[in-house]
Amino acid sequence: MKNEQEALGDPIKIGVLLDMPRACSDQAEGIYNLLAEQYVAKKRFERGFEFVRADPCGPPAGSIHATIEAFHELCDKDCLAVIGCSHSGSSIAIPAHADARKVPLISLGATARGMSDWTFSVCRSSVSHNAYAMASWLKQQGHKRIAVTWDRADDTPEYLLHFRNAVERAGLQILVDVRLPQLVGPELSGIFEAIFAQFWTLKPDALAHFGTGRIADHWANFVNDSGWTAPRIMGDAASPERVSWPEGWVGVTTWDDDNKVASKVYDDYRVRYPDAEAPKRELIAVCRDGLTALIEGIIQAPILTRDGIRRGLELVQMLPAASGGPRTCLGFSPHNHRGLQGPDVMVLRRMQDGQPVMEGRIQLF
Amino acid sequence: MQKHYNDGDGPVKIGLVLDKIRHRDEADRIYSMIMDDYIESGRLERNIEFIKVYPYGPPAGSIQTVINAYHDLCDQGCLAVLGFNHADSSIAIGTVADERKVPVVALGATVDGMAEWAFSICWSSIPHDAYTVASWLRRNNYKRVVVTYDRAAHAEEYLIHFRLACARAGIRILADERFPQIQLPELEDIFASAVEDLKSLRPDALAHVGTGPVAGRWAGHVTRSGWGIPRVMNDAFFGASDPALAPSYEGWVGTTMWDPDNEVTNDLMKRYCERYPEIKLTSGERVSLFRDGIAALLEGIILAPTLTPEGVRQGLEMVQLLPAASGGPRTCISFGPYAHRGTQGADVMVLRRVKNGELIMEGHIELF
Repeated sequence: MKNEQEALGDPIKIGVLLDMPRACSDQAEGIYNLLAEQYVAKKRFERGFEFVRADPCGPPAGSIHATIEAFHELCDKDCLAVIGCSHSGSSIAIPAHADARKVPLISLGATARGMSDWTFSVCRSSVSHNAYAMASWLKQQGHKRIAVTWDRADDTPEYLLHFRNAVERAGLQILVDVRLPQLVGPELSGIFEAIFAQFWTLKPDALAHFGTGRIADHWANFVNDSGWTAPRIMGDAASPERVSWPEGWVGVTTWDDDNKVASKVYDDYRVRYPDAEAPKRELIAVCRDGLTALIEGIIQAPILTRDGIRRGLELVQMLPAASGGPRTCLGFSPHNHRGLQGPDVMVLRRMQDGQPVMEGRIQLF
Repeated sequence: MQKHYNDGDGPVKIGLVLDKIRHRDEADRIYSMIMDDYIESGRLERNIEFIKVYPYGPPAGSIQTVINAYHDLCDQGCLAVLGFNHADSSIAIGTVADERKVPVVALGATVDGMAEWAFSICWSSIPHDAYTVASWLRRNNYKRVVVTYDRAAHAEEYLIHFRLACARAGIRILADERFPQIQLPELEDIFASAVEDLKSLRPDALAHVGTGPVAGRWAGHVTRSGWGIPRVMNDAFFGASDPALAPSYEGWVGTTMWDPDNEVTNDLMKRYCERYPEIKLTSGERVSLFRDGIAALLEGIILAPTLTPEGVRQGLEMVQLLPAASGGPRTCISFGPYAHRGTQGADVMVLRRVKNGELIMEGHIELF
C-alpha cells in the first residue's frame, strides 16, 4: 500500500489522441516520450507524466465520430488533459465535446475554427498563414491571374475564404476555382483532365492548390505529367499523410532551416532512437510544440485539476516554437487560444532535385 | 427631402472612446489620417463617420465613466467602438461588450480583457513586456532581482507573468514592493523607504512593472538617489520619450513598441509629420498603436459579411497577417474565433535605454 508521506506523487495522466497513419502515430508517441523524459530530467515537474494512448480511425478515410469517441474514452480514463486530433475536421468537431466534458484539449489541426473555452490550438499547419504565405509568394513573383484548386475536406473552404481575402488585399485575381474530391477514386483522372481543359483556355499566370491529403499528390503529379509549365504552389505541402511532394512545386510548410529549436529536437530524437527512421521535421515540430505547451500549462496550473490546467495553459507565454521561423513563439491567454504566433508560422519551400529547399518567407502586405 | 433608396453612401458609424486626455488629439489625428488612406485606396466602399466621446477614465478618473461612454456610443448606432487605452478599462469592457453585442477594439495592455465581442490591439502587451524584461535580466546574468509595481489591477497581471518568466529564466525574485497607483503627496517618502529596504537585499538588478505617471516619479527617484543598480522597466517607460522627462529615466532600460527597423512605423511617422507639420513627434509608439487599432478595425469592416455589429465582429475574426506598426518589423495583426489578441510576434515589445539623455535601442527579446 502507498505511503502518502513518502510517495513521490502520481504522474499526471495525459490522453494522447493519435489519429494519423499508424507509422506517424508511433513516431509521435516517440517524440512525446522523449520530451517527457527531458522535462523530468530537468526537474521542472516533479511528478512526471503518464501517457494514455488512443488510436481512432479518423478522417479523411475514417469518421470524425471515431475520434470524438476516443476523446470521451480518454476522459473516462481520468486524463487531466488530452493532446491530439491532427485532422482539421476533427479539430472543428471536438471543441463542443471538450467544453461539455470540461477537459482541456490541445488540438493540432490547421483550422482556426476549432478553439473554445476548453480547446487550445497548436496547429501542425495554419490555414490562414498558408493562404497569406501563398498570396505573398504569388505577389512577389508577379503572378496576378491565378487558378485555384481545392478539395472537399471540411476545412478547405476555410483555406479559400482566407485566400480570397489575401488575394484581394494583394491585388491579385482568381480566374477560376475548382473543387476536387477528397478521396482517391477511379474517376479521378477524368476529373483532372476536365479541369485541365479549362486551364489551357484561361491561361492563368500560376496555379495554387489547397489540399488536405493524398489527393494533393495525385493532382500535383497529374499537373507535372501534363507538360503544363505554369508556376505552381500548394498549401500544407508536408502533412503527415502526404507520400511525396512533387518536383518543381513550391509548398508551404512549418519547417524552417533557421529554427534552432526544431533542429535540436530533431537531433535529440536521432540520439534517443538511433535505429528508428526519423520523422518528418514538421511532425517533430508540431508534437514538440503541442506537448511543450501542455506541459508548461501543467507546470503553471494553480491546482492539478482539469480546470487548473486550463487556467495554467492560459498563462503560457512567449515559448520559443519549433514550428515555423526562428522568431515564432507560443502563447495563450483568456479568449486567445491560438498558440502559434508570428508571421512565419508557415514558410515557403520548393522541391528541387528531390529536396525541399527553402524558398523564403512571407513578405507582409 | 427624402433620400432615394439607392442614393448616397450612408456612412458606417464608428465610436471612438478617447479616454486619455493627454493623447486624445494625437489619436484623433491618426484615426483621421488612416481613414483617409483607406478611402483613397478604394478599399472602403462607404464613408466612415467617427462619433467621439471623451470620458475621464483611469487612473485618476473612474472606469464606470468609460463604460457609460461605451453605452452612449452604442445608443448612437455605432457598429463598433475603438478605444479604452487604460488596461483596467479594457479589462472591464469585455463583459459589457458581450451584453451589448457591439464589437470593441480595446487598446489596453492587458490579456484579461478579451471576450466574444472584445478584441485587443494592445498599447504595450503585458506578457510580452514581462518576458522581454526577464530576457534582458537573463542576458545580463542578473539572477537576484527586486521588483516594484503599483496598485492598478493590471499591475498584478504584470507581476503574475513576470514571476512565471523569472521561474523559466532561472531568476530569483528577492522581494516585491507595491506603490500607490496615483500621485499621493507622500509618494517620495514611500519611495525613499523602498530604496533603503531593497538596497539592503543587495540585488543584482531592479525591475519595475508600472502602469502610469507614478512610474516616471519612481524612475526619477531612483536615478536621483544615486543607487547605481542596473534597472529595467516595462512600458511604463513611455515617459522616457518626452525630452522634458527623459532625465528622470537616465540609466534605465525599458520596453517600448517603437522599433526603428519597422518600415510601417517609419512610413507612418514620416507621413504624420508631413500632414501635421506643427506637431513634434518624439516617439513612434502611440502613433503606431492608434494606426494599428484603426487599421485592424477598418480591415474588419471591409471583410464584414454584413454591415451590422455582428457582421463587423465576424469581419474582425477574418483579419489576418496585417503588418503592424507596433513592435519589430515582423510584428503582425491577426484575429480569429477565440483568438482575439491582435498584435502578434516575438517582438511586440522591444528594449530601449536612456543614455546621456538619448533614447537608444537596447535590443530584442531572446526567446528562452
